[in-house]
Amino acid sequence: MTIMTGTSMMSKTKPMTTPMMKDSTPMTTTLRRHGRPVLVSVSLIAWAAVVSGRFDAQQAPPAPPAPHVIDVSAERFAFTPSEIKVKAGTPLEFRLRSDDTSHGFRILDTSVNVRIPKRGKGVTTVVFEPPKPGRYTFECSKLCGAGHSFMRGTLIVTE
Amino acid sequence: MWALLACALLFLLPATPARAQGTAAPVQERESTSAPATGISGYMDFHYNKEEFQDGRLDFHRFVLLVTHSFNDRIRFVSELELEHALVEGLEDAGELELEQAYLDFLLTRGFNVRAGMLLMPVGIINERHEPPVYYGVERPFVDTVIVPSTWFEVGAGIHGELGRGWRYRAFVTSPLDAAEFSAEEGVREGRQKGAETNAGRIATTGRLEYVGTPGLTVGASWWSGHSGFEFRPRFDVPVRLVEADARYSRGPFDARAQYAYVSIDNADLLNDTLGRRTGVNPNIARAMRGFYAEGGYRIVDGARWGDLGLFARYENFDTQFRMPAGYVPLPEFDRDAWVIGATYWPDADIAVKVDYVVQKNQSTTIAAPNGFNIGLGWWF
Repeated sequence: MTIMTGTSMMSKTKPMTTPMMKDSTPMTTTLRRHGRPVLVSVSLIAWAAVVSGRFDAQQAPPAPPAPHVIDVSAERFAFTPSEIKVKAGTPLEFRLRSDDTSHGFRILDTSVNVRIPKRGKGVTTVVFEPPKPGRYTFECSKLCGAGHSFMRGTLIVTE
Repeated sequence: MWALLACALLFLLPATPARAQGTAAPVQERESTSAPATGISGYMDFHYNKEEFQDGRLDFHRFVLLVTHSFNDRIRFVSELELEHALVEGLEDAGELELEQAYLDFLLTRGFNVRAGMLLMPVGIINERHEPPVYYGVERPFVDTVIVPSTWFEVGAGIHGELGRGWRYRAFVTSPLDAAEFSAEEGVREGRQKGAETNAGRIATTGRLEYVGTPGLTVGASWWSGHSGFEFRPRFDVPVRLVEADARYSRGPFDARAQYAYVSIDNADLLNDTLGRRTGVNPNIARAMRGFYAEGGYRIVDGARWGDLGLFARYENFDTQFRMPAGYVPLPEFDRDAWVIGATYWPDADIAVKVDYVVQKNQSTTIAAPNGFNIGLGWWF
């Protein structure tokens, strides 16, 4: 069972920026000055990098399956969706968002228990790999109003 | 009612240990990661109300505390204690201290759970979902006051659960309304027994079927049915039935809701005669009442650092004299409609500053319905 959590402010996320070289002159000057030895060296280094990369690729364990992303919205007094069906063996990435107050998201009989921030305050992400097929009940774990106890749902994990 | 409780207890006794044994995680881990056993929360709101031709009034309308406790994952306690209008003196015009909820939930399966204690009637939009930040308007809708008498709570027991694909239900058996307190102006509202040494010579049944399977959409239908006549001599029944349908949709800054409710009262003529003999004034209680409303709201500021700002408009039509017993004439001042327009500012998702203006009309040519201006501050914590 793998669990990772985090809260992000989606609206405030800036696009990632890549640093750029403003001036390529130093590298050009070096190549002209030293000629063929440098080119051979560069080629060797490139060849070594490619070969080692292939070797590493053969030795590395297979990449874990990408998590199945499930968007869940919480609002007094329901989760939507409240019934989630998934296949076993795939990690699940819950992206939890509230349309009103702060809620909780707890999967019974597991260690998943996270806080969902208030409306407009971001999204909570929790990665959970069900240990075995079956039915898992999830519920709001933060008292949210008169109908709090209706806020439940079911995760159905099939073979 | 007691049979339900017995079934719940029988189900729970073997279920709890079996579940613990079959769990992959150690018991210590489950306990350490479970929700807090006892929780306290609440909501409050106070209002400034100014009706035409009257002085304005400041009123700390509601001070509500919720206390919950989890005995374990399958048995929960929920309570809601409300102080209305800030002061309780025992006089008719003073405030009220009300135990609106106090029940045990026996969570058995996804589709079948048992609840017993002081229960909210599962009728309408507002009765079960009435925290100030979640509805537009300083005061609750008129339809949710005089047609659906929210906040409506009684002692009883029942079942609730999920049916799959976003459908869920609840069905309760409770103490009934007291027909001796019905009135022409406020319908069945004053007939609520509120769990205070209620007459249980007759019972009521109530329930709701609800769909919440589409994000932002809630569609529901409710009923309430009970024999509400007791202590009348010679004895006769006053069967009361309420049917209701509602829908609520919210997507991004847009919010819309609508509700329709219809109440029928059998033997209203006998009830009027009996109460007229008792008090000397015929109460002119109708044999049918109905009301509906539609509301649209839009957050013109949504997600700003300093909060959200929404505008709304609501149209309501409600008549507590919709159909009269034979020989009775409806009083036109009780055939009313209202426009409510206003704004809500949320500096935080759990705090609402509200302002609205109410334009009321009725069908009477002699008695005017007063317009009103309201300001409110409500919060949830």
